[in-house]
Amino acid sequence: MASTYEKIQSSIVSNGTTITVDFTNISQAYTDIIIVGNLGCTKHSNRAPIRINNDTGSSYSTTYLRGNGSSVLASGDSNITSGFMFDNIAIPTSLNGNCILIFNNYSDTNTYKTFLCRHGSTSQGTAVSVNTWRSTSAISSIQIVAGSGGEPGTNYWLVDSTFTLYGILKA
Amino acid sequence: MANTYKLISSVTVGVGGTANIEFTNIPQTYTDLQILLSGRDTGNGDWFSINFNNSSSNFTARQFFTNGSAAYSYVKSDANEQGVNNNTSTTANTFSNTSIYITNYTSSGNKSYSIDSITENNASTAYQVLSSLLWSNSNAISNIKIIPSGSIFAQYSTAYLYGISNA
Repeated sequence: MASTYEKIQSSIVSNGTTITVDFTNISQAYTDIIIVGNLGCTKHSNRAPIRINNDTGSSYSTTYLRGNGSSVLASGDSNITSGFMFDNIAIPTSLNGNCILIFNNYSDTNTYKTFLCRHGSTSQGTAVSVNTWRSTSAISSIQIVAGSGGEPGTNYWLVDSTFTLYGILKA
Repeated sequence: MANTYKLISSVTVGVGGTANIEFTNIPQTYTDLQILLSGRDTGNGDWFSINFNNSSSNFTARQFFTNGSAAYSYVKSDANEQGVNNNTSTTANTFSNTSIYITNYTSSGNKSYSIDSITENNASTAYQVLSSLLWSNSNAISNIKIIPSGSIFAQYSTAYLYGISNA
């Protein structure tokens, strides 16, 4: 493959109190960006929010398809305050979770941003979600939050969870 | 910045087919591995299995599967049926598309990975499988073998192994 796939930033969770993995000051020099994660959380919560440019407004929508080992469910939501992965599927409490998040044309200032999340774990299930952030702003930061849906209290990313942001260049 | 997505090895199946596609002596210098497979079984097998380091033990998976008319989800605890291949009963000259993504393949922890795999067929039945998988083994992965469930991989099947580094 041509030399168009480069690491931009990486994050390894080093303490037990990390709620948000934050990629900031993302270079605008690429065409698409991809985040690859190997992850787990301290609780079996679901709905790990994904926010762009720290936007907490009702600017997102999501549609997902998931299989939990016994049934398949398709659903979605609109006018919500983040995109999601692990929607209606528990986040694993060991490091057997994976995610691949794909943001096409992330620096385009004419269109809203749609991003694809392929995620799951062998212990909880497999899912794919499509999310839209209704903004024409270029994506310069991405926040991935350890969701607390379905369980009380704060959830944290497990130590040694890894997230890496790659850039893909068409030029 | 260094290029981080590099072709490690590739296989194009020749005349007569091959019993399996195998990558050996995989370098330990990357962070993740990705295999892009285009496969066809010369028999009636719909699936392929994967062995790591010549082991077929300690594999688990949680998958969902569709066939053009219904969707299912299930749990597996063996190395079989990790993805799908076109086979002799599907449209001629048609091959599957599969992505296998293995994170942290050199780590001393268990190896989690994902597979997205589809067949296409000029008929009402074709398969799509998304899988989250785990190989519960602390050894680094140095060998990957992909084995069709029916007969052998047909000529023109291809597999590309890429290394992805976050260094």
